[in-house]
Amino acid sequence: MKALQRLFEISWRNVFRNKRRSLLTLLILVLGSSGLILVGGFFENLLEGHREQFIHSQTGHLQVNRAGYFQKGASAPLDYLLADVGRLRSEIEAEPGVKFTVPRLKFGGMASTEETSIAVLVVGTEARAERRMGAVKAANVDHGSTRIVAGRDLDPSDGLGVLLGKGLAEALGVGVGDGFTFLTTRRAGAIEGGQMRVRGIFETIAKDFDDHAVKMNLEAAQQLLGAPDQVHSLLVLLDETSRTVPVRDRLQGGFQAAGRGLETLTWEEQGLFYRQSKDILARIYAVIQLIIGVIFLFSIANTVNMALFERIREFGTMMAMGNGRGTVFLTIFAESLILGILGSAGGIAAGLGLAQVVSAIGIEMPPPPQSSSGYFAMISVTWPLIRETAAISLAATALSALWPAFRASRFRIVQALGYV
Amino acid sequence: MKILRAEKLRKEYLLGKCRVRALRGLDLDIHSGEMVCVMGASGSGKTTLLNLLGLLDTPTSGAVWLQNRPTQNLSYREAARLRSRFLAFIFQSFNLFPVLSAFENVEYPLLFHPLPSRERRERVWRALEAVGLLDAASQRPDELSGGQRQRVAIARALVTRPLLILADEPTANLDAESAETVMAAMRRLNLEHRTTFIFSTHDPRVVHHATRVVEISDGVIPYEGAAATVRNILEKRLSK
Ligand SMILES: Nc1ncnc2c1ncn2[C@@H]1O[C@H](COP(=O)(O)OP(=O)(O)OP(=O)(O)O)[C@@H](O)[C@H]1O
Ligand SMILES: [Mg+2]
Repeated sequence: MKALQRLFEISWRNVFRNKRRSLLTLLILVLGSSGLILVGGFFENLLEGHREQFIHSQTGHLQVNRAGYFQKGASAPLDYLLADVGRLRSEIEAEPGVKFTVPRLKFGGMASTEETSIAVLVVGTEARAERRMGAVKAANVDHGSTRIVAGRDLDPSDGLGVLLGKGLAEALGVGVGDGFTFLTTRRAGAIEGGQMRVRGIFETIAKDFDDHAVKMNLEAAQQLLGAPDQVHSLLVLLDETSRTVPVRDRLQGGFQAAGRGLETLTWEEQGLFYRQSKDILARIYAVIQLIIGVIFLFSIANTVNMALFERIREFGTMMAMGNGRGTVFLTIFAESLILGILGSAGGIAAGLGLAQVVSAIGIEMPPPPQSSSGYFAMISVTWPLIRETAAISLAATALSALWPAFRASRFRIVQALGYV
Repeated sequence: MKILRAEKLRKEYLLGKCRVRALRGLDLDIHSGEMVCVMGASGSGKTTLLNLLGLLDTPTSGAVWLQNRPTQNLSYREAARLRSRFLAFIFQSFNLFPVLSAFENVEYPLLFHPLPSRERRERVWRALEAVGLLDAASQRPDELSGGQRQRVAIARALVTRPLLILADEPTANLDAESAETVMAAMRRLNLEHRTTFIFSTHDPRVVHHATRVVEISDGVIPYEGAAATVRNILEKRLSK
């Protein structure tokens, strides 16, 4: 017991024996680890902002549909209407964690002016619920997820007064107050249409949505489609994004048990675009981690090696006095591990501190892809990020000590004793 | 009592394609209470011999017997166990742990012996006292003079109460005065505690501390005898 304690003490003191060299190693570890925290936290924040914007402008946290709607609904909107919406809504809203729901009826049609005709996507919604959903601040992004860039937001009394996505308004060449003709197909091929008037123009994070979307009051949309009181989806907004999966599981479990023929999708399952940016960032980050890990590995291996070969005679002495090769290996290994622990602790602390500072100042960002307005990003440090960063520096120090420690412990005693 | 016996020891090194015969069939006995000096020129095989006697290396042929037990074909672990129980070493360049105090350096080999901590500390103090370094207990090696460092090393060798202490040129890195105090300390331990020593040197001035002198030349022992006789021979040689 005392022996182990003393061996550890020896390792500990040896870490501080060559102060300059150890400080240099620690500096590399601290810089690398805090860099990893900052970059990782920055990426995390980008994704968070992105995710929240997406959730609050388009998908909600969850979306409840007739089973199969997500896969096949676009081609046959009339086959996937939800009946008894009122009851379903109050059922869902009674679920713990759920804040409110937003009904949606979506169908395709054709918008025409005298110059042009464009295929559009009508989104029938409840103006109030929609506004509530869009107004929730998306993480640190300080504008609502749906921005009215001209005119005004939808009002329940608007009737065939509608909002157009920015891209669509430009393509149609219409502005606030202008009218256009809308046509859609009802059941059995009947054509239905009306004269619509632009009340406002909106913008969200998703440009392709803005290029095709017409937002209008749910009742007017239901009339156009000939589906009174029916909707396609209920978007479910939760008080916390992190509760998405548990709430989904509970809701879907209940639906399944009752044989209701409903599907419940999470925002992540709907958001292909989010998944893609997440994958790209994750991959970029993995490469950064790898590069920093390799830098750690080589710089520490170099330090350990230099430190060891000055001390081969010490190890020879230990072995002459009867210490086993394992003991020699362990003292060297412990030394590196101490460096690794100190370095990663320092690095994480520095990273957390810098994250606070950077977040307070904010990183001015250009508009994200498919969006038109810039914002200030921050650093979001998460537990997995801290764990991964600690794991990288510890693994790198352990790994880089392995070979030198093994070599030192394999020296023949007389050779080690004669080493100068 | 015979504690160590070397029989027809041969040691050959391969230096590239060259075969160096460092020891060429050497016989030597060491008895309890002796202070044996291995005397020889540079390259004569002193270090090689002490390494073999200390079970730090294995001979090309021949055998070393420790307390009448053969030591050939020992595993690393078995040899390590014998060394820590029966042998101790003093090195030319002291080989103290720079991060440990004098006290901790002396204590180090005892950590691997099953001893109650009180007795361990007592033994360390007694060993430090025996080499006259009670005052330096808390000093680190780099705060000590060469002679003091070597006396710490002697205390460290002494503290496990080994059968035999092997010292390869213990005074080679010391000035004449320090060399004398170090040798005197060893001699006193030999006289008062009957600690058995074998030390090597190429310095005729320290020979007189030995009870027996073994001359080694080209890997054999051309002459051995009582210290006084050897001194006469040496003096004759020196005066020529
Ligand atoms: N590892 C080795 N490889 C090759 N030759 C060696 C090795 N060690 C010693 N020798 C050779 O063996 C012979 C005896 O060397 P040894 O070191 O035992 O002599 P020594 O008496 O201790 O000399 P010194 O007074 O210089 O320490 C010398 O010729 C030396 O060059
Ligand atoms: Mg030598």
